Amino acid sequence: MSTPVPAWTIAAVLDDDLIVVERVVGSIRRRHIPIGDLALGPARGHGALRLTCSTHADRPATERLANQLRRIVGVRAVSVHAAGDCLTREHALVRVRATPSRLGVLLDTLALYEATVIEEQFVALVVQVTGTAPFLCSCLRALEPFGVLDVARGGSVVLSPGDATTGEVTSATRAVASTSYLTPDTIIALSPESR
Amino acid sequence: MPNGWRRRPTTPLNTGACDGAPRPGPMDKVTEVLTGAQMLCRLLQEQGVEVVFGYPGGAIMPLYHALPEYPRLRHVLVRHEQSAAHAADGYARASGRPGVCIATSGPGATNLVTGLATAQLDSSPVVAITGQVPRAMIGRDAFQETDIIGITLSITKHSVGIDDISELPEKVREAFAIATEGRPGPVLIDVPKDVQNQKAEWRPAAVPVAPRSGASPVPTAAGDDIGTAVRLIAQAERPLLLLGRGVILSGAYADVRALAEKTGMPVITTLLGISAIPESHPQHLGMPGMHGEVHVNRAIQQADLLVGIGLRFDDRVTGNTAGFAPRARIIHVDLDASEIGKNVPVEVGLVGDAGTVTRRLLAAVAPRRCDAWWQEIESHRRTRHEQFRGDMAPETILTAIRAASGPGCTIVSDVGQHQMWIAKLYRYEEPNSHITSGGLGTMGFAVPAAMGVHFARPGRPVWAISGDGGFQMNMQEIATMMQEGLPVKMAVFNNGYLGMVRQWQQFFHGRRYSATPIWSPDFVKLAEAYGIAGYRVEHARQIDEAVARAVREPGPALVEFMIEQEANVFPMIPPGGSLSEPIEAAPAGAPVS
Repeated sequence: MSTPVPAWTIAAVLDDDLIVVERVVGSIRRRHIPIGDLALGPARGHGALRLTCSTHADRPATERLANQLRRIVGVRAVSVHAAGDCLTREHALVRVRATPSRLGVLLDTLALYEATVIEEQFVALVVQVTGTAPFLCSCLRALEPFGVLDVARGGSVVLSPGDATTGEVTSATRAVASTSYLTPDTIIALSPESR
Repeated sequence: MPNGWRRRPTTPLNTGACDGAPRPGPMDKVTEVLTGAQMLCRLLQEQGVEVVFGYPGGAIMPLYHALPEYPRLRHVLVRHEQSAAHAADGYARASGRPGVCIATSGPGATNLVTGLATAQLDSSPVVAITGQVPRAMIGRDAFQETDIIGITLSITKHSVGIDDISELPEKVREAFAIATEGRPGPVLIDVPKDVQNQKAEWRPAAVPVAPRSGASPVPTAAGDDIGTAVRLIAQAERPLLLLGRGVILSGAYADVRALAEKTGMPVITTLLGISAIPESHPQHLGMPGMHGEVHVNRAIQQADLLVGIGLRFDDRVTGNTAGFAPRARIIHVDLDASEIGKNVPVEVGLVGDAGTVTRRLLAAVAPRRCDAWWQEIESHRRTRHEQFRGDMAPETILTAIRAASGPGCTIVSDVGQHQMWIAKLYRYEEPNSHITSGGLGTMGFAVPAAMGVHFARPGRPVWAISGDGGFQMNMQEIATMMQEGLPVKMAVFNNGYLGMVRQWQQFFHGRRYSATPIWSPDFVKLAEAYGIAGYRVEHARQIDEAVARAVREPGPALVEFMIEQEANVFPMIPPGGSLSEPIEAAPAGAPVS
């Protein structure tokens, strides 16, 4: 939980095609880019996915990776964001132990982080929390004393502030009618915990 | 005396001439329902494909069943799928059009891997068609099932899996577009056997298919950047022009020559840029890098400006990048934006086609001369001191080959010491007359690639020149040459060693010749066994006659040159060293252990 905040985030809009996803992830692997997290989900635009990857690499290495991704067939757009220059959020589900004797303190802690209880179990709660990666780390540290039983983090996603856009499908790119491997509700994510 | 060349009969249905626009096969009708296999053949014809190199097998049998119905698609039966990929690569490099290879699933497909990687590293437009097990069997470890798309993801420009015959036309057309547009590269099309047997109505292409995003980088060389580059060229006192394969891919021979002549810049050609400018051009210096001439590398180290066009500044060119061209600013022209600044820091990156950008530079630069710089370079030039025992010098052999073959000859070299001799000592005067595996350094490339070159340049001489190691990797293709009647001439530089590895062992591993002595069969008898002419040359006085007889042979011929066993390639930059540290003589070392 003490992992430093990644300095750069790459956001790429891809064709909804697992081969393209595999090529993109393969490029990241092959260039030994140290990643903070990797998130994949549907993007705006027909048949498009949005892949977000935060990295601890320096700017030249990040830019080189972005250039490598741009040359992959099926990659529609790539942008590089500096930490702090973009709107970043991550979503997490946390199963935390909830004994009757400490329930009140736990609920106070959850309120502090604006976490929402989405399921009550026998001796545990499943809560969801959203924020920047440091915010989530802080929340998880606060919950540790209660007993964190499981964590599922979605990986950071980013948007440029203002009018800038990453995911627009421009007239220069062609919408591709391909088999939709991911439904709109499908999210694949690799967070530090799942690695 | 070996047997003369005899052409064996070929399958009559598959030997159609390659001389014009596609025409329907006998089973084609005006409104047709075709199988996936027939559709694939039709699509190949539509793309202008004349020859395919392949090897049949279970999962690709429907395609092979359909092939005889399309006699204008000449199929060349290779003896190993790796050769199919190399032959397609050789065809693509020599013709500028996509080369096509075919293999079955499983081992057939995996045998293509080295050839595809070779094409990828050298930006060659190869389209590989692989059979796949039926869709219902995919993922069940069926007989001869491999995930060839997964295996080749990182060594292809793109991969296409066909899930239904309805996808076939668009995806195949797109595959050809992707292979050739932008920076060329290999594309793999994986077609399950049952899709090859599916039937659907044939619809000719209504409009040309545009490749998907990423395939064709949009040139972005901005006017400001051109202006900066022009200013740097005008201000430089020691400029150099470096030409790579991008110039050949672009066909920008006249443009780069005009730029060189207008600016007076000395010209250096990388291994893959050889023949981008005639060797005899007074401004041509030679090849840089690990085995570049000393005066060429010294020029790079003293230059204050490098104008690199269509090269990627790979480690064989730069040596240790920390010490590469320490005084120089770099202008880098490349079609692939990801190459700009990848290996060396650049002052100006100009993304675009080599010819287009060069013409813009040419129009903007003012005429200038580099007289003082030339004097400085010439003061470093020395007479070559190649050290060969006996009289079988590579230069003598290569001079004889050029003299006997005449203009228009294409030299396809394999990988190793002979590759460097061929790069440095052969006199290339015609554009794109030198073909080799530069990026991947694939031994065994030359013989099959030369077959592909023959189809791209019929009627023109082509030599495949190999070492005794590399030749034995794909020498089985002599049988293909015989069956198909391909008059490829083969030269083997036989020194009884894997020479380049041995040289490294001599220089850097205490002369421990571990696993580099290599026994070879009697190549002349081997030639006889295949029914082709074979000659062994042991003395320089025999060279001219043997080469001339090989050239006169109507079919393939093999000449074995017995060269000095421990000949070395000089100079040599040690691995990880800078261009300022050439080795020009063999180290005094312990006896061979």
